[in-house]
Amino acid sequence: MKHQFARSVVVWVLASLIGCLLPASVGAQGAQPKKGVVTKVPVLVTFAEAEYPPEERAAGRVASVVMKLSIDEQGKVQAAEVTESAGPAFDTAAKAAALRFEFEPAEIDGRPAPVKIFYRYDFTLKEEAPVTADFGGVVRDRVTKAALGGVTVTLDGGEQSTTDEKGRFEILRVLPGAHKVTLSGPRLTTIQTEETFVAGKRVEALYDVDPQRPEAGSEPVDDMEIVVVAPPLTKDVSSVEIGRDEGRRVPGTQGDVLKVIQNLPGVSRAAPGSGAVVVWGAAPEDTRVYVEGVRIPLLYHYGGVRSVIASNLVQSVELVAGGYGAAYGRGLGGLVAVHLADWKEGVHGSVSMDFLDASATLQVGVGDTFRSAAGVRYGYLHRVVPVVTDRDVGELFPIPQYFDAQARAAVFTNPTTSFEVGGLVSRDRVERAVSSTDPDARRSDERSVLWGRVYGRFKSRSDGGSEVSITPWFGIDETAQTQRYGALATELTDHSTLFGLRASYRGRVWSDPEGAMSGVVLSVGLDGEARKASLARYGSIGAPRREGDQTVFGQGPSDQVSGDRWDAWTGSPAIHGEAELSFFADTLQLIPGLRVEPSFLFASRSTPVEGDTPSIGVFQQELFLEPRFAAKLALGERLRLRAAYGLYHQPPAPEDLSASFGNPRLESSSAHHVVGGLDVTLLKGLSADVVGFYTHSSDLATRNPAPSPKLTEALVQRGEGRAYGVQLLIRKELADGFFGWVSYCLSRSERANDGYSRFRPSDFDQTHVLTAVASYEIWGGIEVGARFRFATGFPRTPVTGAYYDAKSDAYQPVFGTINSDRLPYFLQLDARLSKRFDLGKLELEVYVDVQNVTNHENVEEIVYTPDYSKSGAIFGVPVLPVAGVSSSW
Amino acid sequence: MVSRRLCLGVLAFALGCREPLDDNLSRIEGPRVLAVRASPAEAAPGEEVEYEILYVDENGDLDASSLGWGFCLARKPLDELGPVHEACLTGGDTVNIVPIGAGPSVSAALPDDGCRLFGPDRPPPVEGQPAGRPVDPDSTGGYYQPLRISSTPVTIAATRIACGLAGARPEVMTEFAKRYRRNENPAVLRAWAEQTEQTPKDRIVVETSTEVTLAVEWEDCGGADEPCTGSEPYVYFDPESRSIVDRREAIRISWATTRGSFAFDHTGRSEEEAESARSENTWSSPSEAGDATVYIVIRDDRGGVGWRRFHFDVVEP
Repeated sequence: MKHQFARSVVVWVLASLIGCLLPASVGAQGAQPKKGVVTKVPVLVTFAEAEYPPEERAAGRVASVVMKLSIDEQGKVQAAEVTESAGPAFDTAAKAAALRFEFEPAEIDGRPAPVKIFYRYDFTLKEEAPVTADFGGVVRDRVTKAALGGVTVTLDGGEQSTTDEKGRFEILRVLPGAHKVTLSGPRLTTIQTEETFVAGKRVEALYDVDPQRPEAGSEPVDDMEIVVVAPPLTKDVSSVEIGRDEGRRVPGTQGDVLKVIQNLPGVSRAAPGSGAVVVWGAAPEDTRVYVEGVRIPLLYHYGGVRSVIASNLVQSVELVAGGYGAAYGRGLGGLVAVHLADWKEGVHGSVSMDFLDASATLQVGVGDTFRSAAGVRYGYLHRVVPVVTDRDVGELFPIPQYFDAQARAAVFTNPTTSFEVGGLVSRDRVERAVSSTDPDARRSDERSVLWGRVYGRFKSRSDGGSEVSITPWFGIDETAQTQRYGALATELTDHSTLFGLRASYRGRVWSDPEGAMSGVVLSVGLDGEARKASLARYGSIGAPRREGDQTVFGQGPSDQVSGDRWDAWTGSPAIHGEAELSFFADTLQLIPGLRVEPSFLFASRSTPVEGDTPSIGVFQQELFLEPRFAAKLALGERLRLRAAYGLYHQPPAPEDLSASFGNPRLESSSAHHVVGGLDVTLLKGLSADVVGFYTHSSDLATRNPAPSPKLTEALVQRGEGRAYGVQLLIRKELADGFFGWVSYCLSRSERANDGYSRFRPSDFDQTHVLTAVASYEIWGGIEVGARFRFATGFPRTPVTGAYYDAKSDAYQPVFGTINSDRLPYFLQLDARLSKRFDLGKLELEVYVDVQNVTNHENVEEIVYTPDYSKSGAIFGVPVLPVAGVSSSW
Repeated sequence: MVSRRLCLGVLAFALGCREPLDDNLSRIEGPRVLAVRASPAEAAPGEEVEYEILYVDENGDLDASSLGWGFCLARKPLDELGPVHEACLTGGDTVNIVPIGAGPSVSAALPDDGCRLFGPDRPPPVEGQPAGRPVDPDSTGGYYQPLRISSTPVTIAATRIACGLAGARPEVMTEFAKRYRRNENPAVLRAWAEQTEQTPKDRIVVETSTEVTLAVEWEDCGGADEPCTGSEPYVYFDPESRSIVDRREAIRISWATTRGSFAFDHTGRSEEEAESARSENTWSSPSEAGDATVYIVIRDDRGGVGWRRFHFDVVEP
């Protein structure tokens, strides 16, 4: 949103006074000020903001008007004379404002005196992070398609606009969220509908209505039909979306919008250094991450220190914890959708840096047809840490090295049709080596991941409001990890090539506001994805760790080794469709959906390499029919009930299809999600949301518990999982400089390693997760924020004893019941203080993000003495300030 | 190993501080098994093997006549990440534990089906199903027969069993059989206290609260094809290249003392450092006069073991 930027003008005034007063007073004219020595300059005490000429603002023009102001002994501006014109509109606005200025009077020889000063009034346009949405559109006759003037469009907050002769209306600065829209007029029976607004986005609506037709002898037409084109996207039942301006101000995120995901309901607190996104107790790899429909493998760089996309290129991030619609699949857990920033006209950019990294973005928009954006970030933590800490830090804790870049460009052939190309790339690397006099205690750990995506997108919205989007994409994922525990080395590499295609149509196919079924919106699409992975793995069959493995912190993997090299192909072209059926004036919405997903899977080796036996592959086909269903019921203005069900499938991970380390005959695993909840609008901008959930997963791959497993069954598909709980979100959306939320999730995540064993807490189970976030702009760009987190500790398997392993001269732990113990609870308070400086076209922000301000000792891991006779703790971060600076223009 | 308190004041993602723990394993504070030696160090199923144990407490060698020995026949499942099946830990398990005697040393023939239970031979097929999965070797290509000793806590030892290869081409198997030489137990060739040049044969006199550098040497095996008690060369079937590669044993020294303390619990030479046949450690004598015994256990990474003792007279200055 563009608006006049006044604060920099005040600064300029104070500065300019010093330079301008003396010549004015020495060369006194008109008011004939007394000659003498100026002992006090006039001080502007009441600044009046000039009204920015609308046509100039619309044209994006900026200007400066220099005036000579005559200030009397009382500090009043008696006259304003333009000495440097910027055009009649700017001149008039500047003079009108200047005449309302009030000064502390100047003093000459210690006495108040009239003076003249030169004053420059700057009209500047500035981009600010949007906190409101705009609403506009056209109302026309459904039959004749003629524009209807004089129709009053009113929002539930009281904002209204009346259509002009072209049927257009415009309401600016609408608070985000769902709002009732009422259309009324002399020839129109009052009708109502609902629109959902997202900060920074514009809702453009086309309402086709049936006005009363006063033809002689005819009956008044009283059946009103309203056709809302460009129907708002229906949010999933468990969806929570956070905009950029809120997300970057959350303490503990260091200004990173996407890190706000870790504070949303249903998301467990990630183990320090993991950056894993655990949603409703599902394994991190079961939750899918999409950037505008393109799947990416990771949301965060190693260690979770930073997300993989520059915040200034992100509009919002959405978490759907479960029960999502038919458009998405291939995952048993939740869904994270990153929405990229709206295009901007002109040239805009940003530069940020803090202790972790530096980043820059650039956005260029030319005319109405071309838009582009790019960003790059480089992490230098691995260079900083050795300078400021002990060498041991790098040995004991892997320091991430990371880089990411994004670029996109679009051509608009008309305001509703665009062709876009874009790309994302991210690289991570960690290295760690622990030296020791003991050859068996020497450790090294090297991991790297490089991934990239290139996509194209065609997007078009028809006059009728239907939307078509086609997004083909291509990507690579290359991961490598090498770990050494003494002489025991483990190596796993994966070079994957991915292809994807998403195509969708969405449009309203039926509308009858007065009928029992008030509307039907149809969404159909294709979601295809294929992956070819070439993998190599050597070393311990016990590394990397899997869910349910019984180990203690620092323990080496099993010393049994194997090796394999194999290819794995997976692919599935899914067809999906949903119908949003609205009843009783949209009071009730039923959204049945179906996803039909034929899937194929090919593993290049059906058995381990043996002599010269040729490689024989395994090909499998599956067909999934995944029903999805959601229902929403509005009970009055403030209360809405929701429910959803979905069946989901997930193909096996390519690394699990090894004949030596996994099982080439693994099939897809599945999950049922059942979600129900309600949301209440407590006050305007303040809402409460309660969701209960139950998920059940089956056919999960687990280690084979048999003493004599079959040749190619190191993994078996007998695992089951379930998660259930209830989550609460009370949220105050950004308004008047304040936003915040309290989220709480009470849940249980359980696993059974095979179909016969009892359920036990999963590795990711956290019974209670409470997060409270608040941020407030106090004054003059100064913001304070705080985040409080409480979480139950992660499950751990207790060590009940030990035995002596004479071969390795080491004690080995004897474990109790798996995951029957827990780490102590986690509690942390973070704070953030920032100050924004408006420097003309440039905005500068300086912030300090302090983690764990109370220096609470959170136990993050249990460590044992070598004979397991005593245990101790590893604590999380102590009080930790991180300072940063960012600027944008 | 010396405990350190580790604190990070700068990393948001990393762990902060570790509680200091007494992780000094070289100090003998009660009855403990320090080593179990099989002679020969590597044997084929059915061959006779003699076992000895180094059993000590804070006063020195301990009578091990009450310790019972038994082969464990339970094969470890793939979801067990420790070295043996949990059934091997349970006393009185007559199904999985085969007693072979009691005392400080026993002799027994290795079970005949060792290579099928714990080696590369596939387990017998269950009716209607293909043959099972062979056991994966350790990082030196070895397979091991587990052995249970009824100490407190329980001790699990392992005897390297001479089996063939799994999954190799016939010519590779032939070459391996031709070139592979069974492991020999390593031995301390020479040990001495550097300040005194005294050897374990002597009763070394040191003053209280004195640091003494103890050094050990083992035989330099070079590329010799003869039996050797140092870092032996051996052939290894590499699962990555599916070929035979030449390797050399790593040597690890475990240090233990009844009184005083060591700077390090373990020292040694990795495979890449095998050209050096020497290792040393610093022993700090106790602050009070009296006797002290130091045990030096040498291990190669193919399961071979040997040991020596130092006796110190710690006197007031």
